[in-house]
Parts: sequence; structure tokens; C-alpha cells
Amino acid sequence: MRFDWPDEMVEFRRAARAFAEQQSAADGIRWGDENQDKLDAIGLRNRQELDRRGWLRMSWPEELGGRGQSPWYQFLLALELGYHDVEYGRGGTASMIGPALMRFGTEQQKAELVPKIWNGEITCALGYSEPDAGSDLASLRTRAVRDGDQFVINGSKIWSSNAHRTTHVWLACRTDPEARKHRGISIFIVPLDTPGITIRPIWVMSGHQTNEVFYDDVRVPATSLVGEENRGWYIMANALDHERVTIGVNNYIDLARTFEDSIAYLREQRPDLLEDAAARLRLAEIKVDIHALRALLYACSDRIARGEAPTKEASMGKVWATELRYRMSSTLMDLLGRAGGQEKGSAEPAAVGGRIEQMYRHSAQARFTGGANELQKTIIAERGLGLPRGA
Amino acid sequence: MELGLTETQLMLKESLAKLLAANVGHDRLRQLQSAGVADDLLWSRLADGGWLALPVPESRGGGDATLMDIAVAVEEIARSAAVVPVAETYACAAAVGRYGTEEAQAAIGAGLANGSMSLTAAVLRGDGNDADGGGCVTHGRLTGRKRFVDYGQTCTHHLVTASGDGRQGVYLVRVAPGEVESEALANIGQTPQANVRYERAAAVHAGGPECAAELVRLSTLLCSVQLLAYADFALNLTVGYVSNRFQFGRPLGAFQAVQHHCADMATAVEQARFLIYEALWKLQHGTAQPDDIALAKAVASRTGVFVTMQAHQLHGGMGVTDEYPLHFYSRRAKERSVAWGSEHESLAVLAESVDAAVEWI
Repeated sequence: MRFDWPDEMVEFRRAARAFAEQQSAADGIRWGDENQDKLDAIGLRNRQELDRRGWLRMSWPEELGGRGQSPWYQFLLALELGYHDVEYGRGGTASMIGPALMRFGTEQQKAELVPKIWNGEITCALGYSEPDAGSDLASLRTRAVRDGDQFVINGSKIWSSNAHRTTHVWLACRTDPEARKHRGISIFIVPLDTPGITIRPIWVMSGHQTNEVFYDDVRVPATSLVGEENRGWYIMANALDHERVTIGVNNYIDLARTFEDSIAYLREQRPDLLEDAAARLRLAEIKVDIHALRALLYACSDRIARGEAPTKEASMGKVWATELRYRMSSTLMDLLGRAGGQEKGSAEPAAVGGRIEQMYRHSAQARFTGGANELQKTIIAERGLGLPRGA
Repeated sequence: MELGLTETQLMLKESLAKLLAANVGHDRLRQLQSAGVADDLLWSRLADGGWLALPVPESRGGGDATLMDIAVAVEEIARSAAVVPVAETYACAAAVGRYGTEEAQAAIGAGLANGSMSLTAAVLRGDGNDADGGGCVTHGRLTGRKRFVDYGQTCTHHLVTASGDGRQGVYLVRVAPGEVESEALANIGQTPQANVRYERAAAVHAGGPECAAELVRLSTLLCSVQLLAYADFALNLTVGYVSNRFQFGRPLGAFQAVQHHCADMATAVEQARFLIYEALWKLQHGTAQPDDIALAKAVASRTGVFVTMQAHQLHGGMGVTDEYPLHFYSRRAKERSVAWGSEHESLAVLAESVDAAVEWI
């Protein structure tokens, strides 16, 4: 066990922090910025600069243009960029689709798609959930039928967040309706401007847009298939592990920053609360829980760095982070009384710029998206602790 | 950053596990508990194996182990629920080793290398960690009282916080009849503990205030390691139990309600492990702040109690019987959770500085 970093990582981190601080000051993006076009443009530019420096692929194998270094580089970079509010299009795409394509994609896909994913030219929404296949993802019914050197896709997907802003969708379809339900699924990577695709916006309580996406006789070349036909479930299970890691890092940064901002707010607006022993104790408990999340993040990344699957640790991080989003935002609002309930734009200024009120609303969905916390706990128990499989 | 055990640590852990498996059984634990004594036989085996001198420098015939290595040893010993003052002895030896006087270092080095010494920290006068109160030294003789001294009635030497002869700090006292009188206490952990009265006891100045502070820090973190071991043991015991206990035609562990309890327990253990060893690492490198120690102890206390009590819930009747080992761990977890800074006391430390800047990344 050791808790320090080798010199070269310290050096890398110093450079990453310098870049992040400088870029953050130049871009001027702060929490709550809602101009999505501006964010996308800045995100793309920063992504290309990071890719040019080779930083996004520090941990990738050399034969794929990476530097073959420890996964800790990726982790440290994500921490520095996230903490300093640097927009770089870090949604699910690169951290999840990239590694999955690397592992399961064809040589052609790796050569053509992966570099563009890294420089931000290709971005992906997820096409997993369906109206009748939520947590029970393996019940999905969207069909892909082979027709010569093409597949024809029909069906509909829901909760495809970002589909209105991304170039592609990472789409799970049923390719063998006769097989047992996990066995007949395949993954496709499909451009969203393909004829036959319709996107319908859905607005949710967090204030964000997500989408329902309809696929009507959508024809895609067979080269869009990722990995083996009917092996999609296995790829999804692998890709989801990476999604959980991303959720963990981003959640941690968001929680830590929100806590910091809240303390700064209290100091300026409610110094009386900082003199209240009961309030300080409740804040201390939140702080302990943020550190407990940090512990899970490091445990998870340590597994990845050792070349092992972080299944258990990633699920622990997802559960803890999202439960804490709810607990922390709720407690902070509670400390502030009625002012805590004000929304951004109210005549009574919203506490902490509306950040905790927004986090509370978002926490309603955070606990079940990306695999509901109840499913995660079952994964921890069965795959992590080896308990007998349940019903 | 590397969270796996080093080769040295793996070796320590494995050879200790072997020694403990051969010498600590649950029947023996029950006997020792009802007699209220420490395991002298195991202590002499540990002495023979050179384990007592683990924290002593090589130049004094010791094992020259780092604080991290010492903690791994304490964790393994705690996992067996052995009734020996290893954490106490290591905390004293390491505190004096790092900040103590030459004279005390030599005495402790020799005593632990030849196996004739067992050490415990005598710190508390009242209910807080009043490191400098409760003892007064005049012309090398210590007079005063200490409360809640772990293994106070069984150790050969006490490291006592006191002031006098113009010096504050810690004093090494040999337990001699007429000079040191112990009154045994009955605590929920069922491990030896005593209130102690020192009456003109011969006292060697062992270190200044910095040594006393280090003694408290070390005791707190090694106590946290014990809590981690109890929680980890209880989790593993529970996973084994619910995998093999059938009700309603299925193993208990196949029920989601049971699985989810186990997942929460495992999550708590994972968090505690990282935060405790991180604090130890910082202490080893001289960078630990009061908040780091308090964070580790707050999480250790809540984890030890939470996991052992959930273990009881999942075991049902079997878990609370005298024949089954779980009660050793749940009793001791609660006792350790309120020792060296309870969860509440630790949170109070954190609350004190809750608005200070934190290096989050």
C-alpha cells in the first residue's frame, strides 16, 4: 500500500492542473451556464487540444495511438479538468464507447471511429432503454434484421439523453428473437442523420432534455455492427462498468465543488449558521460522506490500474455518489430554510446560485439512471461478494 | 497510489495468520474472557517469533517495520480476536521510537526484543483525551490516577501522560506492587481494562508533548485498524453464513433484502479501509492533520458498529449465542468505537474545521 504518486505522475498532474487553471480562466465557464452551443463549441476545441497533447490517450495501448501508461493518468486528468470546470465533452462517449470499441470493435471501426471519438468529431448517445425495457434491459424489442450487407432497424428507444446533440447513437437491438433474451442482442453504432430516425424531446424534472428516438426502417451497413452478432449483452455489461466509473468521478467533483460553494455562500450570506454547532455537525457529516466517496473512487481506479474489472467498486461508487447527491442537497436546503427552496431566477435569490436546489431535483433521477441502485447492490452482492443468485 | 499489500505486508499477514490459527481458538477466547486476563501463552509465542519488536529499529534488534506494516499486523491479529495488547504495545513503541527520549527508546527496544515487556498507554483522566492531565512527577516518581487503561492490569509497563520535574509529556512506568495499583473494569468488549493509581511509581521521562500527541494519534489509528478488522471479519462471516443457510427453500443470500444489506456492509468496509490506511500513510510521512485522524476514526467507528450489528441481523438467533464467534467482534467493535475518540468526538473535531479549505483532488 502506498498513497503517493511517482515523480512522472506528479509532473503530469502539475502540467494538467496548469492547463486546467489557464483554460478555465480563459473559457469563463461556471456552473449553471446554459448556453449549450457555446459549451459544445468550447468543449470540442478543448477536446482537440487535449487530444493533440496526447493526454486523453495516455493510458491507451501504443498500437492504438496511445502511450501505454498507467490508467491513473486518465483518472488524474479527469479530476483536474473536472475540478477546474474545463468543458471537454466528457459525457459518456469517450470514456465508455471508446474502450468498448477498442475491445470489441472490428479493425475498420478501430481505425475509422476511435480517433474521431477521441478528438470529439464523433459523439454518442445511448440507445438502450425502451418503454417496456427499463431496468430489465434484456427485454428490449427494437429489431435489427439482416438484409444482404445491411441491417434494417425498427423500434423505439427512450431516455436517449443528448441524442439531439450527438452525431451517433450506440444502439442495442434484438437480432435473434428466438434466442434466450440475453443471447439475442447486438450493438450497432449508427449516425443519427440516417433516414428513418426521428427524435422527440422529453423534458424532465432536473431541467434537462432527454429524448425518445424512433427507428422506422432505418438501413445501416453491416459494418455498423460492433463485435459479434448476438453478443451485445456482454459488450453492454462491459461498457456499463466504464459508465459507472465516469458517473463516479463526475459525481465526486460535483459534490465536492457544491460543498465548497455552499461553505462560501454560508460564510457570506449566513455566518450565523457557521456559528451554530448543530449546523456545523451536519456539515461535518456530509464532508465525511464525500471523503467516503473519494475512497470508493480510488478503490475503483486501483482495480482498473491493476488490470482487473472494477465491477464491485464501480457499483459501490455509483450507489454512494447518487445517494449522497440526494442526502447532501437535501440537508443543505434544509439548513437554509425557505431560502433553500428558491429556484434560480426567483425574486428571492436562490441559495448557492441555485446549485443545491438543482442538485436536489436531479438526484431524483440520479439514483436509478445508469442502472438503478437496487440493481447495483445486487451486482455488488452476487458478482462482488459471490452470494447465490437471486430470483 | 497502490492499494494492494506489498510483498513484505503479504508475508507478515500470512505468517501471522498461521501462528494465530494455531494458537487462538474460540474456546480459548471464552476462557480468557471469563477469567478477565490476557493471552500470556500467545504473547510468548509472539515474543518468540520476534513479533513484539516489529516497530523497534534494526539497530536495537527490532523488525524496523514501517507504520503501514505495523498496521497490517495489528489488523491480522485483531481479525483473530486474540486477547493481547499488541496495538497498545505498538502504539507506545512507535510513539517513543519517533519522538521519545534515548533512554526510553533503549529500554523499550531491549524489553520488546527479549520479550519481557508489554506496554500500554495511560492517558485519560476524565472523559476526553486530556493528554497532559492526571499525573504528576516529582524527583522521578509519578503520582496520580488514570482511567480506562487498556490491558492496564496485565501489561508490565505503562506509558503515562503526566507533567512534573519541569517537563510535560510521557513517562515510562514499570508496574511494581505498591507503586501501581489497578482496578479491573468490566466493559462491553470483554477485554482487559483498568483504572490505575500510581503512588510514587518510578518513572522514566520518555518524551515531551509531541511524543504524547503522537501516542494519541497512533493509538487512535491502530484502534481504527482494529475496528476495520472486526467489520471485515463480520462481513466475511456473514457472507459465508447466508450462502449456506437455507430458508423458504433458498439460501438466505439469494434474497435481495439480504443481498442489499451485504452490499452496504461491503461498501462501508471498503471506505473505511482506504481512509484509515490513507491516514496512517500520512502519519508515517509526518503530514497527518487532526482532521485526517478524526475522519479515519469517525468512519472506522461507524463502520465497525454498523457492519457487526448488520451481521447479527443477518445471522438471526445463531449470531447472538455464546457458541458462535460473532459476539466477540460486535462487542469489541462497540468498545473500540467509543475508545480513542468516539464517532461523536471525531465528528466534533471535523465540525470545528468544517469551513476550512480542503484539497479535494
